[in-house]
Amino acid sequence: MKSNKLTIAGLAAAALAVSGCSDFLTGAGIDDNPNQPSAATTEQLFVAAQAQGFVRQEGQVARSAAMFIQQLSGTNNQQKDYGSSYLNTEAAYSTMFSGFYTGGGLVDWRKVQANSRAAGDQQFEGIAKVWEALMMGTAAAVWGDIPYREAVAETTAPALDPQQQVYADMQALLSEAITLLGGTGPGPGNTDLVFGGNVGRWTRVAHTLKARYHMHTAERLGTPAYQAALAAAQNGINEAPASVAVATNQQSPGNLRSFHGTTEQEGNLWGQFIVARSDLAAGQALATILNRRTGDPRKAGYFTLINDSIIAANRFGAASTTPSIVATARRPYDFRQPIVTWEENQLIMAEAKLALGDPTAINHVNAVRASVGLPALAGPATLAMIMEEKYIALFQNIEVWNDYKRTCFPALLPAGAPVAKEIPGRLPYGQSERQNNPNIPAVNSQPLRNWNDPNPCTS
Amino acid sequence: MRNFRRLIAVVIAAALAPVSLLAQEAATVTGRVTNAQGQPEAAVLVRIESLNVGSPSNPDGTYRLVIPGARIRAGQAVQISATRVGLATQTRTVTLNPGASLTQNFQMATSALQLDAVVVTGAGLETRVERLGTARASIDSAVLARTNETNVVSGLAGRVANVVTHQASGEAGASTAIRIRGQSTLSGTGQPLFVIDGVPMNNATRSTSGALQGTVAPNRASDINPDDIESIEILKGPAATSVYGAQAGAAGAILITTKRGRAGRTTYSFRSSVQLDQAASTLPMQRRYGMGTSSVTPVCALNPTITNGKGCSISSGFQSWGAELAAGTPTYDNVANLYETGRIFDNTLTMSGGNDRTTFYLSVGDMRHDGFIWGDADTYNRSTARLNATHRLRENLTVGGNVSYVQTGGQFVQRGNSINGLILGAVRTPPEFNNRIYLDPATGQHRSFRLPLPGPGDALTNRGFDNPFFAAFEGENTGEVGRVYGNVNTNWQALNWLRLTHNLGIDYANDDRMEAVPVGSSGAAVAGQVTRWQFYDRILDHNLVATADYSLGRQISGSVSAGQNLNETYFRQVFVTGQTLIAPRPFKLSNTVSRQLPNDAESTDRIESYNLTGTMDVADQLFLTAGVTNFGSSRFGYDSKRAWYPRAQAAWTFTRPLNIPENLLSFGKLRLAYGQSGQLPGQYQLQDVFSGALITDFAPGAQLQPTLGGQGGLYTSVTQGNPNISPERVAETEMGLDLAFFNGRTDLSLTHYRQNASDVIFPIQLAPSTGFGQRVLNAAEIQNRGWEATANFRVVERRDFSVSVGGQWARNRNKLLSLGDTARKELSNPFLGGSFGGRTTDAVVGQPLGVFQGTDFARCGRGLEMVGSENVGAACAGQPDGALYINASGFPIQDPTTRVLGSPHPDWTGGLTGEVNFRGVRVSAFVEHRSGGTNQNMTRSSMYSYGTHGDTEQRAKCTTTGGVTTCTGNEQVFGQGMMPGAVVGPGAGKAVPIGENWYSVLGGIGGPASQFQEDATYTRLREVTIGYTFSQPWVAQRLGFSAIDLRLAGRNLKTWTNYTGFDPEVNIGGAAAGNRGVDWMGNPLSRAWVFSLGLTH
Repeated sequence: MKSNKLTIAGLAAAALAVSGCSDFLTGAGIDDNPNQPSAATTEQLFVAAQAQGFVRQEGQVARSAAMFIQQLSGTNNQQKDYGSSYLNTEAAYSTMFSGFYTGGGLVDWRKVQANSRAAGDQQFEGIAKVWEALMMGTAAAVWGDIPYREAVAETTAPALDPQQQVYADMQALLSEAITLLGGTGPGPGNTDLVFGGNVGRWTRVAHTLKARYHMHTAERLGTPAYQAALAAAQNGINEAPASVAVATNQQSPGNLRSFHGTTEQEGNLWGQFIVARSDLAAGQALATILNRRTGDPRKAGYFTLINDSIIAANRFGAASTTPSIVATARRPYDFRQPIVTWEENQLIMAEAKLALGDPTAINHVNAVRASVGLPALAGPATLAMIMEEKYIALFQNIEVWNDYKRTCFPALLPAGAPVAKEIPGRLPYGQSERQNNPNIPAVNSQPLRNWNDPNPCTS
Repeated sequence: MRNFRRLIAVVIAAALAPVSLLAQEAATVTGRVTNAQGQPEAAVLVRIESLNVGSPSNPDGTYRLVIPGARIRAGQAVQISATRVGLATQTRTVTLNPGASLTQNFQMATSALQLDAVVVTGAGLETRVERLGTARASIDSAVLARTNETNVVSGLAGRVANVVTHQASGEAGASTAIRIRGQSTLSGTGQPLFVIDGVPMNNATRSTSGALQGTVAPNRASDINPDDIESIEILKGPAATSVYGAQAGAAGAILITTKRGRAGRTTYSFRSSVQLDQAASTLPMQRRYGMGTSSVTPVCALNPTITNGKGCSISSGFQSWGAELAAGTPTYDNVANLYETGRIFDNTLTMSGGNDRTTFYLSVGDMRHDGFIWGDADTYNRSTARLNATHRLRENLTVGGNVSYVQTGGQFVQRGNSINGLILGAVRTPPEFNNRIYLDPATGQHRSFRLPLPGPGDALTNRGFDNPFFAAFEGENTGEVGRVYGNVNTNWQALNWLRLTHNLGIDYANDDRMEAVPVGSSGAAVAGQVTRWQFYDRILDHNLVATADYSLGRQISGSVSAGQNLNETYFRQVFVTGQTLIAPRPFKLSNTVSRQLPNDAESTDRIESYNLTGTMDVADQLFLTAGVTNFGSSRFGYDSKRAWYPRAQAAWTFTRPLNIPENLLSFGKLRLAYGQSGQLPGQYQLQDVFSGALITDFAPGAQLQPTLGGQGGLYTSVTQGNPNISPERVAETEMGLDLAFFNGRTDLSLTHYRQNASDVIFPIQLAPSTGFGQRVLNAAEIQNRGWEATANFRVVERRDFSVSVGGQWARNRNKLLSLGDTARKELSNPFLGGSFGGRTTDAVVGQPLGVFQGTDFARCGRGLEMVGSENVGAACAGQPDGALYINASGFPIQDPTTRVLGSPHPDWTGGLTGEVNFRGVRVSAFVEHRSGGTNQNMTRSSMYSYGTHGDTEQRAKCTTTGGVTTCTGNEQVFGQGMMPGAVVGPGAGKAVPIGENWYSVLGGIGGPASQFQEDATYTRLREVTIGYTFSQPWVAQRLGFSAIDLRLAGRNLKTWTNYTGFDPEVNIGGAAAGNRGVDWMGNPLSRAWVFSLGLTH
């Protein structure tokens, strides 16, 4: 009898155990993520989006551009493949391409704009629009036709917009931004890592960017593009460097420069890359030009010198002696990489004026020369004269590749062996975009050059 | 108070009860167990079930059972049985009388298919082998012992049809991955569920710096001392794993049962083994050309100079493409030099025994492995202790507990992509540089081929790549695990038809890792770096099963079981990297100048599942089982927390009604099974979240944190949440036939299965221009189909001489049927989490999972027109498909299109065992074969680029003048000596020089990946063992042991393969990644000689 009671009690206990918990599978930390926030403020998104912007402007696209136009040479590993052999596969640029759109890319620029518009902060919205124009204009220059109008919206397969249309959209976006920058604040303040919320500087950067993008279309559109570029540049960045030291690495306060800290993970990507992977050395073309010059502070400012010369790596990525590498001054973690500069603005004016037959073009060349302590050149300006100055002044800047595609300056001997090549005119779309967006053509069907670059450069 | 007194009285009475029982006269049964040849059989469990007494036989075959007098009636007839896995159970009837002694001997016959054995089928259920409707796959302790593997997972290699293992490398503590019946998941690592004594256990492989770099990491099942394992049952597919719902899924389940004590005399055993292990292979190296480029030796290699305290450093552009080395120059094999002979000392002491109420098994083990990397920087030690005990509280109530404590400690060397590791530096070192002198004798600085003569001012000079021995000896990569796991179980026969079993399991592991590189290392860690990881794993598992037996007349009986399982798996990790050491030592975070973004994350995973299972035995020949599992997981979508997974099995012993003579067909069974199970989605994929993780440009080498300048940054997570993740489903139909012939001397099992996974959960990639990179969806369909066969044949069975052979053969065909919609054809890199140099292991519709994708040379028949400026289309008109396009310069060109290059899955796998027993001397051998499948030999492609690979010894001489390179010599014609086959194009048939011009560009790592796909077929002599057991009477009389067992064995002695890398089995990710076949700067497997001594008392 007692044993029966025990049995019943035991079975009841077991039944109770079975019928226990009702919310076992749900709750905070159970099915909701305990590790990542589910909300972010406009300022937090803005800071991360700037970081993403710096990564794209200092990352592999910039390294590849610098190697294509032989400011640098890839001596080892992937850099040698990409830069010296032009083995540029879609997989190699997958992360690069994605970063223009995903986390911290266009998706977040749009959120920052929407949030600041909702808050009535026109200055903040304007700054975010300048950033969007900087990033998407860069993407259009590198890849040509890109998803833009349908990007970061409802569709899962954004259409490719023609490059000229994207440039037109950038001009419109920059015009809107300029209007907004003149509007109400308070703006992003300290969370603006570039200008600390200084709308005057942002407005001038917007004008320089307009000038830059007009120049991108000049090979196609001719005179109207030069005229528009000149008009925009005249309202562009106007703070000349205060000293030769500032000029050597384009550190004028009006320049759009990246922001970095002193630790590795806050560090300038050029600096990080050169520390972690010694795969880059001085390139043939820039070494030749700088070695020819006397008294140019950028020679030692950009490269380590060996017997007062820059030793360039050859086409295989090596020289018979140890080649020069990027100078110490240019690779601290907290080096602020110049992205849109007074130097560029001056030389856009020079090139536009030259094309429009304005003899004052030489003044802008000489302004840049004077800033680094070089004597003035006698006019009239030539295209070679202007582009050589720009080629030097825009060291490590993606824009120099765009200049080459338009002007074929400097004359470059493409990497050859074992198969003859030409200097790459664009990069393949990222693999993940091509695989998942049916509007992206197969690699073999992608053009070799973009719409704005109809004529190849012959070597 | 009175109650309390009564309680004390009860307790005292209970404590005295056994004593009073013993006071009465006991009965004794003794005897000897022998096999068909008359030789003693040890470890046979002799048992009187009805009285719950039993004891295993000793090595000399003898046993002794003592039955307390109080528990027997005079003249009571009881059944006494002798059982052991692999032998047919023998049952006799004996008559017991108090105080009487009697003798009962047993002669055991081998059981062809072990039909009587009790087999665990998961979630607390068990059945007999004959009733099983699915193919049985099991390994017993004797087979496991013969493998001499310290990692139980490696011990499974080749033993069971369609259970394929991949050892990451032969380094001490490296993980082994396992794959059962192919792959049917697109996320996670696809490792089976490990269950030990009924409790799911943690078999995570936690790599620190990611699968491609850092050090090897153990898979946590290697914490088990293989000596503690009694048997392993493998549930292969959903037909068998359905009871686990979505916990085991299509990856299968490995059910491990540990040894337990038996009533009877306490036995002691001690096993000690020594293994000498070596790298089983090396890589071909060239020893003729020195460092340089374009046949030019770098200036500072010729004239080492030190200026301003700094040594002359050699540019990264100089590989081994320099001038031919002068005769007499000493050269070194920089890969073979990495290895020496390692040692494993493995000792286990066990004690087991008990009485009719209480049994125990106690073991302590200690394994010390000094791996084969030169020096002592590669070690892995494991100390284990285990206590398994049961106690019968009442006649119908038994409680038990198993507990194991494990302490492991290892020291590792980084490998793979790590520039502070072993291989990357070694394969780049030119042959004239001796890496073993890794510190400069004068300055004490890190000496490497890029900085051969470091000056005193070179402490912070980047070497590009570490000298492998600097990395091994000056760095410190350690891992230490403390782990406790076990269970408390209760078995209660509540009513004579109702049984309840409860199992409460726990598994705690604390895993503490460090990777430290000293000042003067290469890369970003040049000023020293310390990274600490802490992983904490906890599993709590509750499993309750109630089983009711029923019978309907004479012919039909069966049972109905209902079960409940609640499981919580918790994981927490914290890791922090500190950079720039303040003082050179100690390697402590507090001794660093700055810290990187820490990672601090936790996860809680919960499962709530209910099972209902019914069985029906019809006429002792037809065995039916059906069941359903209602499975709930915290990972499922907010509105779909639960799913149903049904199953059904039938087994028909058709020889029973047919009356076929036993000496022809002694047994035959047909089986048919169907089951569904699921696969868990990744955790926390329901919500949209924001991320503060590093933004990547190039890793390692260029990543930026989104929090900058003291301002917090967050970005929209690249993975979009999906609140509606619903459970995924894998359905499997399995059919098979088990046969035994000639009185059981031969047996054969055949199995066919068809598995279809639908609604497979995976991170579907989105076009990044949508603003997201991926979103988790239920969308894919994957199919696995296969055949399995096992056979055993006892060729000779005579007294003092027996020969037996056994084998298994299996194939699996895997195919990705769909990625959800017709437009989506491929998924890039779901398994490795990143590509390297454009080589990916992908999921492509119509192809097996994990195929290699990459580029090939431009060929005809692929619809190519213009490739760059080359008109391939015109040249290919009317030409055979596959013809190689050769341009005017005589070289092929790269077709930039990414395409499928090969699949890492073997066509078929098999294993063959042979065993000869002659006068007690046992000789056995085991050969494993894998046919087909390819590896991506990335190590070779890199070594081509570096000019260090043996193949590059034949080379054209290249020189560069004024930026123009000319090469002469070693002329080859594409289509003939180089890449034989049809060629087309303007340069077809042209002889061209092959040297640095080729290997460092198109023919090396940057060139088409198709060149480095290699057939991974191999045949491996996994083990050879010769052993003898001394159990003659003189052993006990003179030495005091009942048996002494001596064994000499070889492990992985020989591999036959055409694969040119270290080993066709090597895979860089190990068990930490779901890919296979990626050979990237790993280490070889090991081969070993093993001597082992066993003492039993």
